Amino acid sequence: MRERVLSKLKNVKELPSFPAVAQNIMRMVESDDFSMRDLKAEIEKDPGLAAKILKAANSFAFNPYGKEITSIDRAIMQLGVKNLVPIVIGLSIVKLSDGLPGRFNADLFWKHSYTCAHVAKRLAKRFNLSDADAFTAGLLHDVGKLVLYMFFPEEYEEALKVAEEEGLLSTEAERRIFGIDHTEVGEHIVKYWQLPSLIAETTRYHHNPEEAKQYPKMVALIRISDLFSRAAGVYFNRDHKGIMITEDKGWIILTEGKEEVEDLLAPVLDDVEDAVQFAELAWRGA
Amino acid sequence: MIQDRDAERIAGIVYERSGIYLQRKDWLKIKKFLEQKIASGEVKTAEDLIQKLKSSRKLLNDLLDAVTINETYFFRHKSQFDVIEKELLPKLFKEKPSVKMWSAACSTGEEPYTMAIVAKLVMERMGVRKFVKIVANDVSQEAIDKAKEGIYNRYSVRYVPKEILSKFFTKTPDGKYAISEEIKKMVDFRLLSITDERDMRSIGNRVDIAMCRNVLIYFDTESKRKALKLITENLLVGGYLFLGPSESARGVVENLKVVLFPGAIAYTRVK
Repeated sequence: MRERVLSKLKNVKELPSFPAVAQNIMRMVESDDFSMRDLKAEIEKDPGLAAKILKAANSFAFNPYGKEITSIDRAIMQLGVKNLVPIVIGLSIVKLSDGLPGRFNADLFWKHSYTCAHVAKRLAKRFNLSDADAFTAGLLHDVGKLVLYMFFPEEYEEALKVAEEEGLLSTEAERRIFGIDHTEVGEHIVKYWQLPSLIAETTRYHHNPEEAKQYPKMVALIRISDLFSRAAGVYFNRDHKGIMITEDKGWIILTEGKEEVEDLLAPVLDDVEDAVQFAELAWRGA
Repeated sequence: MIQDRDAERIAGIVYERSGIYLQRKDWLKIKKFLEQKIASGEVKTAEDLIQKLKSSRKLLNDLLDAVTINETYFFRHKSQFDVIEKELLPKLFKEKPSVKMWSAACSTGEEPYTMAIVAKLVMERMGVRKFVKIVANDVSQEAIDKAKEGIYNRYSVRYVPKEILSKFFTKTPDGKYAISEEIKKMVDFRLLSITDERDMRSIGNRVDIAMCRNVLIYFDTESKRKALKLITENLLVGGYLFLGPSESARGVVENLKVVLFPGAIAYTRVK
């Protein structure tokens, strides 16, 4: 089965493409060669996206007390160019699940991804990590699940069933059925999309942060944000038995034992509300 | 006009003083509380309330009472019972012949009876017969009497799934719900206080799973510390304690560690 997955991953024509506007915005901002007008023009290529960006700029998370923003350039200013990339990715990425069979619970999948992204964004500041990178990394950490499901829906349903019945981690069930898990598949697709190596690494090692090479802190942050989102009740599959968080490798790498769990965990409850709102905005444009 | 940021600052002070984290959904109630206090002349402004909250224990308790309405029902905080059903009991039933659960401050009995129902369901699903003992205590004789009676109104059973309702309850002529005898006899109700050392020793110290929810928020720091310490002493090493979602044992008992479950946070005793 592993070979079948790998050969699918090599067949470029079958791979999902990364949303074009998000890709272009990311390149523009990365190369540092852009004007506000360029950004605006790029976003307006996709009117649905433009409308969602306005809503995001007016949401509680980004504009809690200010007056209403009605133009794209004002929206970009309000969100900040630094935040624009993760937000554009966030708002356009839900398209990736469009072609999946109705049985795939896309709603739950994206709510978990968004919650992880929001939690990671909040915690990033506390550990001097980039909150924009943290947001994107959180959003994409489980993208491998989506790709596996896209290729082999029946088998993935089987993996979900096995995991639930036998109390296995998603990675354990996937490896049993596919001989490969969503972290490896996720890394592959993220590299194919030519996203930054940081995203490839967070996607690859969010279940075992101790193996991260270049960005151990960011990987550990995504691990912890994943666990927190799950504990807050937003999860795609149950995935783990109890985890004593202070013994977790991700926790140790991230905090070096200098934090109290409850201090980090408490505000996460608010993030969950923001995230679910944001997910619904991205999802339904509502 | 009271602003969101006032509510946010008030929530911040509440967290500092009590360790209770009021969420954004509670802000409306915080604002209403502030409005009432301004109307009654007790405080003049939001700033005034914040200053007073720093020194007044009573004002803090009033605010918490107003925001966290005391109510209980079957399957309250269901995701915690999901963890007991899906993770904890299956494991315990595989490992040992008898399991002890404890509902500390059980009020009118909805919580310990829910524990009993969940244990029954897990045993049936696994096809095993185990000795499940559930101890439940409260300081109110009235609450204990009502719990022993085991008759509930619609409100208390509103989150009980239909098939469980028909399996473990019978409808009384006046439209109430009586818990079945097989569930009733699994629970041992006692009139005991969770801050009394002798009372707590009498519970016995081999508890696998304990719940003490939405009670500690009404305690001052010292009583909370005492109760948590006594509860922890009754837990087995490796046993679990569930608190209410807005409560924490942060910095209170050293040998309690946070465990994250899907949809729930628990504490486990480590030594």
